[in-house]
Amino acid sequence: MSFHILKSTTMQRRTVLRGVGTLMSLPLLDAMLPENGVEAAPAGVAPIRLGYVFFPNGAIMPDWTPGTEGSDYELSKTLKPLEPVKSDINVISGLAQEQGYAHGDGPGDHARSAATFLTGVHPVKTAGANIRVGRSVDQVAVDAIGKTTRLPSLEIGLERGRTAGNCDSGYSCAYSSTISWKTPTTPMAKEINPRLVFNRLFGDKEGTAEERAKKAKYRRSILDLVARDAKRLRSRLGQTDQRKIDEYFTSVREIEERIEQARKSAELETPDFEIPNEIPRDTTLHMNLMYDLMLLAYRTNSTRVITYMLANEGSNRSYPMVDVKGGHHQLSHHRNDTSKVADLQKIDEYTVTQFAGFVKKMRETREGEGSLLDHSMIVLGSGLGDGNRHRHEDLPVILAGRAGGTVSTGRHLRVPNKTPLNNLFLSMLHRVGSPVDSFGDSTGELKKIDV
Amino acid sequence: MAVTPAATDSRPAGRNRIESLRTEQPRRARKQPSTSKSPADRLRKDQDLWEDEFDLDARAATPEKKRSQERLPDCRLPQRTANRRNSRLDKGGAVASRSRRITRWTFSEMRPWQIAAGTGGFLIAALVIMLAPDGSVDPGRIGDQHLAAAEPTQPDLFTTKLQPFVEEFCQDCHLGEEAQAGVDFAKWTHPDAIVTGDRKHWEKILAMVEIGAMPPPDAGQPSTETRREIVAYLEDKLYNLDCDLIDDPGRVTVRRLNRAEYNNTVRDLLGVTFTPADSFPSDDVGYGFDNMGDVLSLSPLLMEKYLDAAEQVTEQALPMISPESLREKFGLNDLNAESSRRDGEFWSFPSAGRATLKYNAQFSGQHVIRIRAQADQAGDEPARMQLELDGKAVHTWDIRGNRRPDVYEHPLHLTTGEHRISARFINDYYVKNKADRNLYIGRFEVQSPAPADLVDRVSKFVSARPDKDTTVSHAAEQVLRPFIERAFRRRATAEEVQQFVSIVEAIVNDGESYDFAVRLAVQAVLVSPSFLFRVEFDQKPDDPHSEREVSDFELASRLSYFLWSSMPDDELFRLAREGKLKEKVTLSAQVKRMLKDQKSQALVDNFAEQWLNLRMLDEVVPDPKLFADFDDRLRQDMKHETLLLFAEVMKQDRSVLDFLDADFTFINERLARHYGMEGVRGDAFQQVSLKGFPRAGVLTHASILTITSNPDRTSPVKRGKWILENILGKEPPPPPPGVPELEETQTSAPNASLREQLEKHRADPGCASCHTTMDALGFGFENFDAIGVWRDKDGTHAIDSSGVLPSGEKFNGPVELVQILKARKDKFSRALAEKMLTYALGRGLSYYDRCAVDDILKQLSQNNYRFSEMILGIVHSKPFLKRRGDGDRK
Repeated sequence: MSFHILKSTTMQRRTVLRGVGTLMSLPLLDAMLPENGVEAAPAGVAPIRLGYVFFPNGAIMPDWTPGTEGSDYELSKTLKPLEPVKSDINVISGLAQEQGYAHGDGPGDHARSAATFLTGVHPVKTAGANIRVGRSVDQVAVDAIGKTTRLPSLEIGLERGRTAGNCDSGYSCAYSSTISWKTPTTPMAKEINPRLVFNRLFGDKEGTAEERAKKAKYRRSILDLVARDAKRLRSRLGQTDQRKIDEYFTSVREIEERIEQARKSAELETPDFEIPNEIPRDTTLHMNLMYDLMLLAYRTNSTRVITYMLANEGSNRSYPMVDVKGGHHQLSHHRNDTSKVADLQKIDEYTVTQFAGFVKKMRETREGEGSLLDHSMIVLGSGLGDGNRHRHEDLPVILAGRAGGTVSTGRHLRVPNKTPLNNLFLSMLHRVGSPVDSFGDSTGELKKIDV
Repeated sequence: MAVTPAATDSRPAGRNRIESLRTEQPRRARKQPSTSKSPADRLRKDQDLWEDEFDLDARAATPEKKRSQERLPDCRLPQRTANRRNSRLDKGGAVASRSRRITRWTFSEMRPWQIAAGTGGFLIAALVIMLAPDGSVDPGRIGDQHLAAAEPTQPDLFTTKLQPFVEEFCQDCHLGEEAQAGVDFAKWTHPDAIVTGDRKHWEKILAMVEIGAMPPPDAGQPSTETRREIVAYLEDKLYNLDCDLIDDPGRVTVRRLNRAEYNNTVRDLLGVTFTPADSFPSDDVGYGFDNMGDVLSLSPLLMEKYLDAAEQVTEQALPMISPESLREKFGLNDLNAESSRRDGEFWSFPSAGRATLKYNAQFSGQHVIRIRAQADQAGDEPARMQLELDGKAVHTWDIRGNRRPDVYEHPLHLTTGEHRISARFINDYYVKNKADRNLYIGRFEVQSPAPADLVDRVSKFVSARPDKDTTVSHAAEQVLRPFIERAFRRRATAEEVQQFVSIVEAIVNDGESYDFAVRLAVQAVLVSPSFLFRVEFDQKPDDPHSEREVSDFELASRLSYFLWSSMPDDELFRLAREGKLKEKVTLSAQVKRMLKDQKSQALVDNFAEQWLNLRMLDEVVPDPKLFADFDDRLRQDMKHETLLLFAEVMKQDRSVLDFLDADFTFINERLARHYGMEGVRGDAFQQVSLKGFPRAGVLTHASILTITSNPDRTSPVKRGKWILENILGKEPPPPPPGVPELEETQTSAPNASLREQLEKHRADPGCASCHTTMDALGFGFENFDAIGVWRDKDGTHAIDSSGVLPSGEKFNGPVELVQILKARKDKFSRALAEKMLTYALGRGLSYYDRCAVDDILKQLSQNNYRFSEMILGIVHSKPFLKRRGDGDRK
């Protein structure tokens, strides 16, 4: 099944506002909605989208966790910005990624927290060859729903992976700058340039349609050639080398499939979406461009699985837009210094504010009988709860969306302490038709989210 | 560690030694099963007991357990296992838990001096071992015993020393399925386990015991003498190798070109002047470097980038020139469109506005501009598009037809330099709901006069074309074979060339031009695995015992990627083809030539930056409230100073020890101000003498001082750790689990100076073991603040940068400490050699590489520590010249 924005005149050319500043405002997406009564997807069969938005260094949990539970709860100080979408989200307290704890491996909690966030698997402590954690929930979901879309999944972020030796006490940088793992040993590199994300989703659209078709055709023959070449090469290599060539081969195959998928489906109209060629220096702008691209990707069903790292784990970015000058990681070891705690709370609130904006746009995007948000499950969370003490439990987790009416929202759910976050992920996997019985350290589904 | 005289002088004896150990140990075990059964055997028995009867107390009741119960350490188990442990102890271990509490109480009540004098004594002893000034522990005594022990009739030290030690001090926490940190002594019943089996574990065990981090402070401690014996024994076992016996060149995994290598390689292969890899995802880092074959991965995202880059590179390097001019196309993204929005392949202009191209003309002369456009016609005149050059109207076109895309062309005379070329919609017409005239402007094309050298380069590349005597296949092969061989950095097989020739044929048969097809084949080469990976083929790729010299071509690549981070040049290829590169004299001459070449800057940018962790500078965020001076400019200047020193040592072939104590440096006005030095003006860096200034070598560079600081204060610990790791080559083990955080000390003494705080922190024996050394080293540099500015006071506290190392050496201030460190030149050059060999090989080092490192160091020390000797030593080393099949050698 595929649905696309139809090549049509649903947008009034003169009404579209221009300029990057307006990009983040709503008219963009409203303007994209078909106006002629054609729905993006037939009612009732809208596919479920998954999203995982990660932020580093934990949160100030006393300001995060709502004081009361159930559906009649009051949003906490930090979560206040979610007020407009309160009825569409669940705040879940008490979840843990216990594999993030040292378990004899000593320091390196930041690396472990990112590595475990979507895997629930204890990463091998290494700065070198044998990186290994586990497949991440998004990639497991790809098995079930990745083949029907042009991109099996999309990995995006705001910070390039670090390149300065090991990133955290002997852990490879791959652990702290990746949350998506295609295999236990292959991290999925993330794209941080909005322009390139856009091009990935919709092609760079240079030249005429005919020229593009020609380009795709010849790209296929190039890929075909090198895939055969790789196969031949592989047979002459030792087993470790073969694994490397396998990575190559898999990547080639994935792009081939993508081109094929694009050829089969009708060409997507390039959405009217202005993106700077350079990566914006302004974090808020950058962050929201990526959120908008997420929405666009879901909206056009270009992919159904997205992971988004708002920053690498242990990120020391400062947040001048909310008047926080210190580095995030540095602050996170606040030792209960009140001014540092206050600064951190501001960062958390800022993160939540931007996320709330995104959720709101998801809700305002009509699809079938409801909204795009109704057909989604978007997690906002961190692999650390209390960042000061590196706690891998009592994690800050928000689940937005109703997953086609299978999640009952508008509640603050408290689960027994140290309930695996993977239980939530298992529930999410089942909702997209994944046949897995368990996932990572899951102990069962998280029934509390059910209707 | 130094090779013992016995081992070097009488190799046969050494060989006997190892062989005898291999054969004698089991025999002895068989002979005396009841009296000298190894403890591990007994342990296994115990384990069986557990499994068979689930009687945990049975184990606690065995005689050897009773002894250890008297000093049972807190193993700091994770909750689950700890509970289980406790339940075990509750029955038989009441005494044990009481004594444990007493031990702890005693420690926390002690004053620092008491610790140094009492329990702490072992720590000092441990550190004396670690920091012995001659750079090595004399293994002679132990070695002698060891050799004696190798006689079949004598008991082996493994049995007589190590096993009792393990039994007494280690196995409470490190045994069986609950073994902490995966260190399970039940697995190791034979000395061979140390050398080959679980070497990694034993290296860690050695480091922990040596530095005094294990056994944990609240557990029973071995005497200084015992600790020294165990350390010496393990060092001997692990590192005192007989290089004739352990003769292993190692094997590197295929290496994907990393970003720097990709950029440099396409530059040298095709002459492109841009760096396409800058937008690739970051390369993974392993063993401190981003060129490790095992670590570099290839995601679908990267593959996609490779495809795009291949296209861009080909477009720039081999533009379609027809026949004497050069066309450049500019898509919608290249245009700055005002008052417009995107509509498919066009920017659409509903009222007025223009699309502007910033065009950098490389050549002066007659150009042609072509603009794709269409219009919605309305009103009584056609839509008009005005061409502007640098804001001045030069031509106006009437747009033909309604919604009919067409190309509009006009000649333009351009001088070299940047120009603004615009197309403007000048006659809007709009009647609400009736008529609307709109202009749509699409891509631009600029045809410039092709410069002779580019025409030349392209026609040289496409050296053959099909004609009545030449088939497409024949012509394509002539063009592609030399290119493929350069791209693959080796000879290509007929089959390999044929697959690229075939694609040219197929595309030509498809109706495309030969020129177009050749360029596609070039793109295919640029994304093929043999280009993207540096592959070395073996006859028996999976036989770890099959060993060979690398081929001449492989050697050429190993050299060029080591020194240039790029492909071999013509001279290296020529020597490889002629089979001469492996000649010792030729190889040395090539190394010297390559180091002189500009391209060796890659060694500075890629090796030096990573060796000294300078890339961390990009990420430090000094507190702006405290260090208002710090900005990106200063950040870059700091890095530049250190890289210039490295480059100077490399280019002038100076001693590598200059890194440690050079009495000169490179600064510009900004850094001079930072350092409080006079007489340097301007942004350009110049060499200045440091005589009379309290600075010498990289340890006093602002760069290193900044990356080893916290944002708001210096960190003597980080500085000490950095010196241990990078200068002395001794990575301190991570703190044992459960060590209290520094903040607990801090809250208890908020007004103390940093030195006092750290001393208090060290009063905790769990911290003391490592910190005694790290802090002493780090405090030597306390006169430099967190961004490397000299200071005499830290807040209200006067700086005290004096200290005493555990070895007893005293120093006062950074320059004296630098001199003490320089006396450890063996350790420093070993650390450097190991890092550089790692970088050169593209793999982590293994124990067998120690022999190669020893040889490199010998050559280095005999030649005044000259930089080139280090490089030559590496290039002539066995792991650089040879390789073997995959798998573990048993």
